[in-house]
Amino acid sequence: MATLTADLKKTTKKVPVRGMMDNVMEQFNSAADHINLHPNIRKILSITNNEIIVNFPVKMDNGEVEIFQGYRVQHNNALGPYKGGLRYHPTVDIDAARALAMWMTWKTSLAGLPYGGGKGGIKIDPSKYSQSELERITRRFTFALADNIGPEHDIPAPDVNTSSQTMAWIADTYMSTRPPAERTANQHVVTGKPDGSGGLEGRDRATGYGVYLSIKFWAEKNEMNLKGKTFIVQGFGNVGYWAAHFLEKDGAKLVGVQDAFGSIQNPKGITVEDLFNYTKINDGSIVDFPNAKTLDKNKFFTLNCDICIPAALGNQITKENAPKIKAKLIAEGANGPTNVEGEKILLERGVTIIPDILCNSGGVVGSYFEWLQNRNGEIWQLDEVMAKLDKKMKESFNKVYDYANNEGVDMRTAAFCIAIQRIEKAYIQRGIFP
Amino acid sequence: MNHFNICPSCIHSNSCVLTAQKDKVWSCSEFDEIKPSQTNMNNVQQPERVLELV
Repeated sequence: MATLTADLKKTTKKVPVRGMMDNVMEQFNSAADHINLHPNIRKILSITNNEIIVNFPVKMDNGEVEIFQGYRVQHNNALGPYKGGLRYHPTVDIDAARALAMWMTWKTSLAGLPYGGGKGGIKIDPSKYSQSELERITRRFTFALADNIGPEHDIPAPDVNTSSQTMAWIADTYMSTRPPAERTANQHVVTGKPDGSGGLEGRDRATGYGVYLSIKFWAEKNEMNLKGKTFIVQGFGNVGYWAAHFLEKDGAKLVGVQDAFGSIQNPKGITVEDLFNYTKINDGSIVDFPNAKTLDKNKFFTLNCDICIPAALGNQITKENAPKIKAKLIAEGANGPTNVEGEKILLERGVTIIPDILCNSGGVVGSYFEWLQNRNGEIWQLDEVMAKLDKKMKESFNKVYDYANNEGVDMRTAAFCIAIQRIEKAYIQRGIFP
Repeated sequence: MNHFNICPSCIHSNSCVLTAQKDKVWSCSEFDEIKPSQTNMNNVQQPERVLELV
């Protein structure tokens, strides 16, 4: 009798890593459970409407032809045209675009805009291409997307590695494909365009101003005067700088800043404009600013302050630092700066969090204003833009604040519930075709 | 999808103090893209153009 032997394969079962889509779906399902969302609408919102993949050829500077892959995911348009950014990055894929598109649906809905959610991009490392190659890649991508985008259908905007210049190329290419008499009526196919080509004055400060407004509205509701209140900012880019600028104008005092290069603090106050001017002559870095002391990076979030503004990136407030945070208010200028464990600890400690989906929505509201401006053939002045932004942000803030108080939930849960309920209402009113 | 992150193509990637989790960042206000290298720019060959009045 023969004996059969075999080596056991040393395979280990792969544990799936939690992806971005899992997080977005978890937030959606949690809010859907809370509002007892109709099962049919839950089915609709759990999946994207359209996913477009285009492969397109572009002639390179050396005469060779390269094929690129571009995406556009359109999650939902119950409230209006799809809206969301285009990113150029080697790690862009359909799965990432899906999660970000869904996130945009909630964001535009909560902001009370007539938009749905979309996202897309090209799988590309832009640093490997010349400016003229990037222009041809952008124009050919626009042509490949064809009528899958449009000013009343799907409106892209800048995102990672795309800029106002990219949007100007897209607008020009799209408009060139229309009949001559319709061309100028299609300028609002993208937002985030340069000032001279249909862009909105004040778009640069819209997100930071929205963060400041969210803090101001919360302070008003809690009968708190911002004068003399201390705050710290993580990230001194467009969002962090402008939020700090407007808070300082209201009498609040910046006592700590952290950017990619390091951390600084001064309990007596750091003048925002002085720091901003310093970064301009210091390669963009806040490090060694004369009127502040260097701070250990791990101690940044534990600084003594009334308000904390994480305005750089995700996963910054965690179970490790949440128990040591002194601020009474966290205003999320970045996307996803507080993770689930960190948030739980903060809420138990009575710290309020103004969630990202509300706090940094000034940017998409600014995009909406640019779209309206182009659509109506108008040019808005800066003070007009800021006044309209104020009104729009206040409406959203009050809805979330009141819902949270009435339902006894935190502001993030309230924000998601309101966003999903608005879409649910549209489906209930319209019904499902046929 | 699980590898989706923007840090590898950011000029601050090696020195950034903001996060140690440089494999999970999908959005960052400090992101600055790596500019095309000089080598790449040298590859750009523009044809010589002569304007003639005829």
